[in-house]
Amino acid sequence: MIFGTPTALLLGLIALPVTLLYLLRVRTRRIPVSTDMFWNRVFEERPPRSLWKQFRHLKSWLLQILLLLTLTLAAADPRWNTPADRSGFQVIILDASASMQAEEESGTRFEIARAKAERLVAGLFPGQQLAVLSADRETQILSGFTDHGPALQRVLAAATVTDSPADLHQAVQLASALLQSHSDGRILLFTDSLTAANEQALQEACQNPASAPQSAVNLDVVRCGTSHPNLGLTAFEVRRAITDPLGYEVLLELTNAADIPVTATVQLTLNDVLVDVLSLSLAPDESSSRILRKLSADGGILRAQLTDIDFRPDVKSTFPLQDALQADNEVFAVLAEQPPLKVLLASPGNLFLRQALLAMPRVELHEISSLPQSQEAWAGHDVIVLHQLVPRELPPGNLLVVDPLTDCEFWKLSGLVRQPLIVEQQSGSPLMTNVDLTNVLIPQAGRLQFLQKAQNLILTDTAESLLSLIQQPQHRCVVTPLSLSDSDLPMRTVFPLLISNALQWFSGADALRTAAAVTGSSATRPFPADWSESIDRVTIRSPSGAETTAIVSAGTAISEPAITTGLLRERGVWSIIPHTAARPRGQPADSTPLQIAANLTNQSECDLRFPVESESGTAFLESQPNSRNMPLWLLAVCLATLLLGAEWWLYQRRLIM
Amino acid sequence: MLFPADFMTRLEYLSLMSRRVFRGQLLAQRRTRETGAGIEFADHREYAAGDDLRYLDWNIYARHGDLLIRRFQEEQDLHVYLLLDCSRSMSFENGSKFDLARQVAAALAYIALADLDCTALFAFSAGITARLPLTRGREQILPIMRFLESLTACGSSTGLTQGVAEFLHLRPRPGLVIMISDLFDPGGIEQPFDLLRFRGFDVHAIQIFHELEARPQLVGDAQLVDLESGSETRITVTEQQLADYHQLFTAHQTAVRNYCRRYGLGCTQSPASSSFDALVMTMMNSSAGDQADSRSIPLPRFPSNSQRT
Repeated sequence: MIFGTPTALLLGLIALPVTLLYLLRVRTRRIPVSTDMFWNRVFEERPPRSLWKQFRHLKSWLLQILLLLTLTLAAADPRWNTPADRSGFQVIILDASASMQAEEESGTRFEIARAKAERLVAGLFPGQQLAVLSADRETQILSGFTDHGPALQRVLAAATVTDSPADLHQAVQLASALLQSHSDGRILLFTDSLTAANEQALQEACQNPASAPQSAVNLDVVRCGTSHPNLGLTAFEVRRAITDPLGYEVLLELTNAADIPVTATVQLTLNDVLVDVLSLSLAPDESSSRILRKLSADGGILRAQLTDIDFRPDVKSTFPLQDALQADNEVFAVLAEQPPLKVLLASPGNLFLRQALLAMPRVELHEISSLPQSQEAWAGHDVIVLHQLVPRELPPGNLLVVDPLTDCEFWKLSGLVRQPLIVEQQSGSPLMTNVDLTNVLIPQAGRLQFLQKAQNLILTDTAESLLSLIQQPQHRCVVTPLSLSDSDLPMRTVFPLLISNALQWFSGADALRTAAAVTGSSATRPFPADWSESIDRVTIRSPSGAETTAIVSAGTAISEPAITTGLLRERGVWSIIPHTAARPRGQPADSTPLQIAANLTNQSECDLRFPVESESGTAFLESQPNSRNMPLWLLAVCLATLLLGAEWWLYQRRLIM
Repeated sequence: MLFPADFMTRLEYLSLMSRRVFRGQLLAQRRTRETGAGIEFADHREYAAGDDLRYLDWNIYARHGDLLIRRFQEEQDLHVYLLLDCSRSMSFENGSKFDLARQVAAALAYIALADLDCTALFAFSAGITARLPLTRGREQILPIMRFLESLTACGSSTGLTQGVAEFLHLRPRPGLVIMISDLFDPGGIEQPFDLLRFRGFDVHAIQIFHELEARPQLVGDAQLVDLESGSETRITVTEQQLADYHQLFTAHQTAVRNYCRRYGLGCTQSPASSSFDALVMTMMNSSAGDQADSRSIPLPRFPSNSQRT
């Protein structure tokens, strides 16, 4: 037994004056009696006494001393802890990852961990200091070192579990850094599962001399919960189909983190409209991927949900095990909308080019046979296709120039290239996807001398470019000097592919393949094109409705304007609502909110089984006082109260004086 | 006031009550145990040189050859001696015991005087401190009351043996001795009562005690002061010791009663809170039940072994 306040034991010295008062002769009442012969006979067996025999009130003295000792014991705050548990500085790491949401018999794993941490705080010694960290993808310091138990209890009560995976290594390193200046530090990691290798790695991180050169930090892992089977969605991506702009492809992966087979149903909905239902059977520890191809020009929220999860489907006599974790049973994705693409074709007339453009989905084609006189005629189109007709001043916007016959501000024609031999193609460019001009018969092509910086995607043996890309602040221009009438390019399948790649590049098809974010991480999205430039701040709304405000950073010379969220610790669809300085925050914005899906697609969080049944650290917690167990000082106070009552009763019964 | 205005009325009432109870057995007509020149045979005793040969029982001598003297019971007036304890212990709790003792003494003296007996009063503590000689006649009650009023409980310690010894040293004629005391004599009551018995006195003991003496309300640390000896004793009294005290007190009372019962002495024990006439009436009523006793106890025939607690 040790004492939280050993100096309080000095109160026991009060026993000395108490004893002295019992020994001292007190002024007594003078009572006349008619005769003392009866009293003398009553006290004849106890004649006048020595100093020690002045203890005529021995029972009373013993009760008083016992009462004093129990009160002194209570003031000293006795504990059952062993001296090894009295580390002056301890750091509690609460694993707040998604797997801590797994349901146990007595609550979630996180609630169990929090209850154990509260027991630890309840046994806090005066002078002993605790810090509390919450570990998910990014470690948060919930409380610095303090010895104020109620404050720590409030911090623990306010701690919440997240939907993000955990990075315990980072948390332990941070805890070690906090304990760097303390020689007897201890880290208590409350987590649900930890492999032996990971635990060893964490132990090494604690003993890393670089992080804690002068201290020996002990790490105790307190496991919370029991092993459970779990089936989870560990991957979910959606994108527009490359070949079909109206279609989209869904990548779905399920993982059976159990030692038994499982059957389940996956429901896929788009804007709450059922799209598909899949029935899957997975063997133990099996991961299964599915790619689903669907058609829809509309964008929206795509949701996949696991239902009818049934473990041990072959053993009907036993009660089916429940899926313990709900956080990985539902995933979201944002499917971009495919708006119509307005294309203006300025050409003296080419049936191949016209039909190739008309064959493109989403394309609304407008044709002119001569160059317009005013610049306003170019406006209102997403892409302008110039065939042979090239104005001196190119209109702003996306330009696809085929076989230019005149000079412009970007190039100058300087003759022809005879029998060009293609020696280099930039296949990594999105414009060159599935494009190969090697076998295309090209008798001749115009020689372009670029006046602006151009990226050559196809080069000939004479270093002439057959496909170039020019990007200027007002222009994005793809130009090819190939003649549609002299070459057999229109007869090749590469021709519509080239047209399609150009149109997709112009329409920003990369943005349509934006991947869903992983919970616990931040997400960066380019500033939407339809947002006003006056938007200076945004409101980030979580799936649960919590809102935060962020400032939009302007683009620089080397980067485009972008929006970066904070850590997305909640799974679901986050909304980024734009605001302008002139518009109050409560009023709706003209621009469409940007939506970001965040999913827990993590196989380690999906696995709720305990690799190693180790109980390190739990024995230490067993010695901690429980809120249901009465602390020793309170027991001592109760005993003192009983003694006081006994003393009162004995005095009233005149059994003691 | 020791003797209130109606005291004489109450005494007369007690006197009448005593006549009703003991009708035909008036004082002065009762026989004493004194053997002498009476005509009624009492018993025999061995002849001693110098005895009057007229009382020699010749018939016995003729039949058995033994020389026995015949004794006759002498009829004479009864002498009532009232021995009143005036020790300081009687002043306990404002002298309530002493007041009751004096009132009882006056009542008994009046009853005796009304029955034509002789009455004498002796105040004693460690010895005789004051006395009123034998007197006769109902009219002598007033001097007796004045005598009693003049007494104070300021003597020394209770010395029953010394008081009785000095009383006997006056060579009183045998009669009835009524001792009114708390009987708190460390030397005990056996010796003085034995002396009286051996000298042919009929003895009646009236023990008066205070309720606080029987059950003292005393718990805790205290310094006891003996009223008679002045000695001081520091004690710590517990409930257990109170019980022990009460047991000792009760044993003392019982010992007094047993002694009186054993030797045929009258005994009355009464708390100081009782009234004198109630005490005397109780004594007479209880003595009326002993009329069949063969003992020849002279009047006034006070109750024996009656206790009022």
